[in-house]
Amino acid sequence: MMPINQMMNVQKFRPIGSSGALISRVAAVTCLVLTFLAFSSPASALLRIDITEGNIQPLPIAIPDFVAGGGRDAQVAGDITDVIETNLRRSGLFTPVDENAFVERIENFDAAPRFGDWRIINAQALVTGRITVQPDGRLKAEFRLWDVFAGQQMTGQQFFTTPENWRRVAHIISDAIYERLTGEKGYFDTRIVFVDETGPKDNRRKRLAIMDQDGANVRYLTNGGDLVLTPRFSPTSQDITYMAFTGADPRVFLLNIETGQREIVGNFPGMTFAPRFSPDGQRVVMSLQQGGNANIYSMDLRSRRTTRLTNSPSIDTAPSFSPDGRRIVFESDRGGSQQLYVMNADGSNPQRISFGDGRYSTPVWSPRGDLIAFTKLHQGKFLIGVMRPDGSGERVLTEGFHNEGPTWAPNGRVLMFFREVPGEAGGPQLWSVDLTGFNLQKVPTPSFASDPAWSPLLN
Amino acid sequence: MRVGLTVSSTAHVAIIAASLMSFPAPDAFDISGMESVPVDVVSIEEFTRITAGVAEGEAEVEPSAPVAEVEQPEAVEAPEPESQETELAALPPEPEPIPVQAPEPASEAETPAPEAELAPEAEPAEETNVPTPVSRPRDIPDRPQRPPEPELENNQFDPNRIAALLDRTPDQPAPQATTQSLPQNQQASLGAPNANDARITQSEMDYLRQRIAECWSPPVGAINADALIVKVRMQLDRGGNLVGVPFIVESAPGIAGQAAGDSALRAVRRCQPYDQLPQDKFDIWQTVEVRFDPSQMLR
Repeated sequence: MMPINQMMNVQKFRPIGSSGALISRVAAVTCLVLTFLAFSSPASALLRIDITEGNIQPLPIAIPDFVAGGGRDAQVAGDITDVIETNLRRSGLFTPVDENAFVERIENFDAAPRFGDWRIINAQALVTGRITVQPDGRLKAEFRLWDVFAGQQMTGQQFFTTPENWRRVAHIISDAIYERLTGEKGYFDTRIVFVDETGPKDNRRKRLAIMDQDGANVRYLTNGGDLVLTPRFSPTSQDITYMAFTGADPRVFLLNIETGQREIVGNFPGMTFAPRFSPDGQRVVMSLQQGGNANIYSMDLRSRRTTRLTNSPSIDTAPSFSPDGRRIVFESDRGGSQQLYVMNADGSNPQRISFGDGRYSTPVWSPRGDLIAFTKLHQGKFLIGVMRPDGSGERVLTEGFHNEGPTWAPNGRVLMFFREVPGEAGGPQLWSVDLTGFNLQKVPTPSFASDPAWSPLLN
Repeated sequence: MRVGLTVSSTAHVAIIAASLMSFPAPDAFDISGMESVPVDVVSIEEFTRITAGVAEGEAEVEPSAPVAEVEQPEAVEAPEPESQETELAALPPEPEPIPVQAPEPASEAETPAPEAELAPEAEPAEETNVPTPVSRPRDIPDRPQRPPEPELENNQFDPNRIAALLDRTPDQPAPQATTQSLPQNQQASLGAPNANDARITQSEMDYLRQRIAECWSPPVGAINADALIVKVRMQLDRGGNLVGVPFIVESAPGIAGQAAGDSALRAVRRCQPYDQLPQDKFDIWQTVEVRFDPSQMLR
């Protein structure tokens, strides 16, 4: 490993030699020294080993309560810490260490922690933070993420916000930690729009609702007068598109969640279903029923021009764009049973991609493009699964009496869907599952809930 | 007219004949002078596995039995180092002893060959005929390991042995583990300064590998997680503790690459000390380059 010695030495010396004469002298001396070193130090070999198997487990992370700048800040500091801890735990990728095990008490946010104390309890990462209310009433939140074994800070940030916004700050900090440790974007600072269902089974009141990804801050968007279905977020604006029965026919609507303004999309004679935005937010694709057939249409939201994309004597529905906007996956029974097809965004070249047993429906293209999630009915069970856009690599993530309507987290790693509990008292509930299929979690909602749609990251 | 024709044809014939004789035919493409070097593309892992040897290895060993003074029988019990544990499981009992008696032959053994122990791998000596078995009295016993390097005159400079020349490791129990590796080593070590992998045994490698793998939890959710290969180099002291800061030699770009690099660094830090490595081979394992490759985990 002589070469390495040499390289390292040269690098060290380089900054010194700024003038010509000095350079040459230094170089000469260096050469001499290096030559001497090269022959005097025992040569050692470089042992190379390959590690091809690991031990995938949640990362133990310690999140002691954030330091409070003043007495009254202690409450919010504790709350923020709790939200971060819950977020990371629910992701399935982290195990927050029990705070009773903590040896060191973090009291000074500006000093480096005693890493030995955190190593002992086997925390691999440590989050410290400080919350202070500024004289102007704003909340200042700071955090640092430490690599315990390296004894280094991995990242650190600070935010200012209004005190009511403390939850969002907690989500943003969670995302920063998640991203730094996993190498993927987080998904905590997001919202879910869903259909809230109350009342008896045969007469459910269905309202559009929106909440934080963790179930907090529920807000209702419609009053329950109309039956609503399949809400979808615009990837670029504060708009939602959904389907509602106003009278007998279902229609596709556009709703601005800030202003509450809503309008019908397209001016079709028949029923319209399954709307979804294009990735640029400029178009909505949906299916339009005409007689016994349904075909897929795209509408440009600015010009309001519609384009017919499929033209088959079958039921084509549930279109979903690829994230690059160049292809569309949809379901169709043109081959005899309900299967998934992929076509170009202009409707050309449809190719069937699902070939397994059972019926496939509600395909959704992952925001990162690598997978398509779907619902599959097979042997009386509803499965939520994923496959690659070419139809290969089909995997089932979860199954049960009734699972439906998958929606992707913006990082393409977690899916949310609704699961129906059978029985008179039963109803739909929201669940999430990650791509491993192991981290299945119920999502808290005020009552029964169906048809979730995950927003893009808010920040 | 006829004269002209005659002259013309004669001249043509003459020219053609002359050219046939004076333009030499190209020499046959002779490649005999080239020395061919056998090359196998093997991963390091495969290589160690290969060099770990096979029980029946002794078969070809005996014939060759180049060296070894006869009087060295005691050597027989020269215990094979730990290396065996793993292999043993898989293989029939220790075959090595056998080779010992075979030895008598090569009387030239006298060749001092201080380098003997250095020569990382004991070559099998298929080319038995090759004399000059550089053999060390002490170690010979357990196997006819001698660097075959045929041409190797005692004092001849052998570029393959540079590492050996520089190696000051005090005499030690001979290159163990080489026993079974004999046949393959010959090729594996070709000129490579680091080829002394063979001197660290399979089980020692496995120990290190397992130790690190236990602590390695790679980020698996990223979109191209299987391409997130990281190489980390670390320096160890004799106690198997990290010296200085382990650093990343190679990793993927972007935040995913960074997270993968961190996970690799965490792994080597968390699992120190690597205190079960053989002290006498410290020179070999004091610098370790660990390549973390998650692709097989994610299939």
